[in-house]
Amino acid sequence: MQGLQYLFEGLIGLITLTSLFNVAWATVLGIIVGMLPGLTATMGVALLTTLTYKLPPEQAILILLCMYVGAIYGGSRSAILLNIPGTPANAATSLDGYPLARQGRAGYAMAIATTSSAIGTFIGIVCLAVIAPLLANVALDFGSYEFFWLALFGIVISGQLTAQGEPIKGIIAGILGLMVAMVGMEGIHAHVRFTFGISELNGGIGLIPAMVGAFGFAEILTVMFDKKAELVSNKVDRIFPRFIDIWRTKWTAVRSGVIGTFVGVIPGVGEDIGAWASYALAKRTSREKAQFGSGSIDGLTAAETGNSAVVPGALIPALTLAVPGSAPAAVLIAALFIHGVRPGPMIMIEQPTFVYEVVAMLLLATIAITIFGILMARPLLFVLRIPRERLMPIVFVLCVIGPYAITLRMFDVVVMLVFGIIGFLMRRMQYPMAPLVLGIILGDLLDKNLRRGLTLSDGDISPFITRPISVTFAILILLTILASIPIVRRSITRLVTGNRSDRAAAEPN
Amino acid sequence: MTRDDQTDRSRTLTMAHADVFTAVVLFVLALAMLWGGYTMDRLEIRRIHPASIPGLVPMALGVALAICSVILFVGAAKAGGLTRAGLSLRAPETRAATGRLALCLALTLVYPLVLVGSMPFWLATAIFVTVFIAAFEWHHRSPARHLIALATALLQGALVGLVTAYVFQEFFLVRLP
Repeated sequence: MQGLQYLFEGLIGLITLTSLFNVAWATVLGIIVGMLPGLTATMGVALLTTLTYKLPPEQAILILLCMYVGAIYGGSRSAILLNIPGTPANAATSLDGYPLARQGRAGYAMAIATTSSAIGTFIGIVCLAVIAPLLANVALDFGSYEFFWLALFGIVISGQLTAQGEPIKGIIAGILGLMVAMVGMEGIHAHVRFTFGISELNGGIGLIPAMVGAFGFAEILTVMFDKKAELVSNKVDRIFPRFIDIWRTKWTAVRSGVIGTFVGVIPGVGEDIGAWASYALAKRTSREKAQFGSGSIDGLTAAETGNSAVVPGALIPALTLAVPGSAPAAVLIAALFIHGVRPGPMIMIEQPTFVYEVVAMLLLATIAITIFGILMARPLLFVLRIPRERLMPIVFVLCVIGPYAITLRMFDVVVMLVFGIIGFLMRRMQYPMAPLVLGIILGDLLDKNLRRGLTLSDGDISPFITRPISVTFAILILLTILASIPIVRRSITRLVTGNRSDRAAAEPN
Repeated sequence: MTRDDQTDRSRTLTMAHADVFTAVVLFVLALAMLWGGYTMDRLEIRRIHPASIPGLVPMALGVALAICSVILFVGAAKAGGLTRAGLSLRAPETRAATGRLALCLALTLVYPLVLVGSMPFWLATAIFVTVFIAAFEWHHRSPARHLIALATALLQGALVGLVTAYVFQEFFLVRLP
């Protein structure tokens, strides 16, 4: 009951002209950022963090959340009209959205995407309001041992699930992120590590410059390297969703919303996996399997509900454990720290209303994407016609000025450039970026809690593998790592297929 | 084997080659991390607990990365990464993309590292935006429209430079470089 009261108070507090104005422009900007191939939600949130750091915390966080929700939704537009997902989260959307556009039903596809995104975000919001306080309560029992395993689990599972080809590349990306986090003053004895005499590195590598580089500059290089995309259609048909379509796909939407939320809760996995997981399950359970990939409404609904539900889902561990569920949530954690909010298990004690304020903010963002998504469907088509040669230099100027504006150090611009080039090379080599970011965020948590735990147990490692939560994490990590080794994976597959064929041979005809 | 199959195979081999090279680089990095962690000050003078030495996690990360790089190397070698093959850089499409990348990289490095700081921020930004647009649009436009492209690039460059400098200086109170 108290939760509902906090939520109501949060909503009332946000119904001001300033807040509504901020919701409107930040959501539209988010949709535009999401629509434009090359501009991602992470980049939008990172750049906007640098532009809003002087605003009051509540307004700044509201703007960042609207940008996040708007960008994940906006990516569906380019997926439908260009066959190029605006953000990686919308890759599954293009499978059915683009064929619908080619059939002359682009407006219909956009309408389905809009309602699906709104439903997905709403399901995620309900889960956030219910699960976050419970998880924060459980996390209060976490000690150093559990936090160490949690950090390691986040990196390993993120590496495993986000890797495009070989899972080992995801784990390598996570380790590289952890290595980056080792630079600068460590948190237990204040000893300076790996700075090579560069005093600017004493405080470590800033997350915002690294993120702007890895997701902003790297994207610019990628966009300029790749071939230009062509707009499939300048005309859109009916853009208002029909109730019958929403009703027909209700179970797909609910199931995908729940899947998306739970994928969001898994550290560092993100919206794209939420969309793919929902899409795969929808395909498996659909009565019209053959239509998937050639304009299935179920497929489009699953992809868009799944990716949008990840947004509130990713905020659950971000707020209660300070472990991001996705790359944009990682930037949000950094932004929360900038604005004096300390995410983690103590959040429900120190700032009990904050989680509900976030819920209220997400509700406003959901309403905004629905309204602007439908009303601005036609005007927003012009955005897709902006040539990349005209857009990318402006984005790069913001990539330079953004990190500089926070600390007034040109060194952070250099960090941005370095991470941009590394990020571009890693992308070309099919290394996922999410584990790298998660490694940078969780490096300090992992390092401090491992050494603190060992000090508490006087060097004895048994508490790391005997406490119930710790041992669960340890087993999950071990299984995930084993599954990422090709030879082990092949042996398991051979074992399973071997057993199946044996069983088939033994069965009487 | 069709021409497409051959291209696919050479692409796969290119990634396998890159993986072999990356695995070697990562292995060297892992050894450096391990050595850095091992030789790091153990702060005995401050009588800290031996299990909390600052080099502990870097050493562990070095070992983990070394193992991963070996796994990557073995996988890439099995995929043909040690044989001599690869996607030709002389293919017109690859050459055009590489050219665009090189130009983009050059412009984006010169702007923050050379232009910013050596002249007013708005001017540096205006020059960067103008040159970027003009350089990339030059080939797409017919010679008759080059002047228009240059004029609009100049206009956009000046606008972006002035607006960015004004907004950051006056609204965000940032002392621009």
